[in-house]
Amino acid sequence: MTLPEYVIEIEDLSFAYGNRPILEGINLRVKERDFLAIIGPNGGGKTTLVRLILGLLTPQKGTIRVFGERPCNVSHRIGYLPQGQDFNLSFPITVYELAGLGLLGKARKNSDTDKREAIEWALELVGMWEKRYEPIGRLSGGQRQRAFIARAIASSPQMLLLDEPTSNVDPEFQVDLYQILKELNKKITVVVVTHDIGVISSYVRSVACVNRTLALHEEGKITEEMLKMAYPCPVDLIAHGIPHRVFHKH
Amino acid sequence: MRQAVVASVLISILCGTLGSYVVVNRIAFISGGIAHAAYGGVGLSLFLGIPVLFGTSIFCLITALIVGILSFEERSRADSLIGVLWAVGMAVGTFFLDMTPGYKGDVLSYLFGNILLVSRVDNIALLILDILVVTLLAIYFKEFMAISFDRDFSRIIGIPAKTLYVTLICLIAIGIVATIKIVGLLLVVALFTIPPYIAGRFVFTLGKIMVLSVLLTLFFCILGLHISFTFNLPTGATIILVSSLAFTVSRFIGR
Repeated sequence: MTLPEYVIEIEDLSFAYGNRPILEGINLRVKERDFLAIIGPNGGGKTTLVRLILGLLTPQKGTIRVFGERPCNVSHRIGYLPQGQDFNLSFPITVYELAGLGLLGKARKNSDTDKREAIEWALELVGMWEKRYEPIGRLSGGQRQRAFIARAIASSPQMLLLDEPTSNVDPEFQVDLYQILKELNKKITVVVVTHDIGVISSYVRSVACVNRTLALHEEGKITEEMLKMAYPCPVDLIAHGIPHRVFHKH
Repeated sequence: MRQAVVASVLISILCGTLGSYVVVNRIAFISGGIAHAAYGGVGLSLFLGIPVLFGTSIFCLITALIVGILSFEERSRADSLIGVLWAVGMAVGTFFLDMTPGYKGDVLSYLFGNILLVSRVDNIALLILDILVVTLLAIYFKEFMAISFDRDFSRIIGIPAKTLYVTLICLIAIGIVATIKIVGLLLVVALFTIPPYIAGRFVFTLGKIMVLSVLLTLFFCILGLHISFTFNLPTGATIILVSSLAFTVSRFIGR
């Protein structure tokens, strides 16, 4: 027996809110140091899948293992970036304090020096060290996302899980973000839920398409089939970066 | 008068620190619910013949546990439940006060406060409470901040979010009971929300908001006391009116 080489292993997983099925028969294996993009339409179950991986929800059927263990036991080893719109932006907190929140709970650092170094490393990496005393309410959308990424990576997690990191954010940030992720991906697994189909194809190694069920493509290519499954209405899709194609009527 | 000034200092520390969490967590309604439910504790204590502050504290702690647990689980639906507890508490209080024979003490002073009734023993109890709250907040400052800002993230990294949240609601409940004697249960929410709200317009970290709130609360209490003494006005109401005036003015300055 070898150690689990998969950081995420999902087998025959189903999840429903009451009678409303959200995910059905999901199978997914993510290798260590993979760069996985999860795409799919809104309401297709992407965020639910993320919350299952984090152990915030438990599946009704099937199993889910993260680093070979139950998600709730190891979730502190995942660096998580939640969807941006959920935050109370008037909350009195500085960039530095925000990054420091990543170092609490089971990710707690014992010495103050370690703590400072970890925060400085994270803020330097996302380019926010200069802005460390700014309250988050005064940042632009992109700067705020950088600060939140710093919080996610401050504890040096083994996997990064980002839920729509570029929605409602200035376009330059998109390019910078994927550069940062590429850098981090040299050492850790990156999973990103996204609509940036154009950008991801040049960075990711595999693509999972979630719309109640899941289709995985391990070479990072986005097939027409996946797009159809993910975006039943192609008008939703701004197809820059991938070969232009006229979609069939549906 | 000296006890009143000491009491002002002690409640300022409670209101400024706990009130900052009330404002950033947006749980003024929960605090209002607990404060009004406290009337049930007052009525029950007088009916059973037990010390009012003690009985009310127990009553409010139970209310806080219920509200804390339910509002943690179902944030969106907690609203109506708090409204119910608010009214039930007041009804229980009215009911038992009516059933209590003989002299019922000065019921109005529980509703509107009377800082002049504060005794040395009350202040010692307040001091112990201050030490407890300040110690807990000093140790778990960042954890409390984390759960106030982003509960899911806190749970993911292994902070016991629910325990801390319910603890916070319980501390707020005890803080409210302690402040009832000074401004009364009908007015107490104002002291928990106005100073941190004003502070939040001028300083931008939670720690600084707490410090400024403590100072503002103290200023409002002392000024309110002074005015009420000079013109023979009810103290609790005067303190709240002074705070409200500052609140209004602050809306036009600051950020």
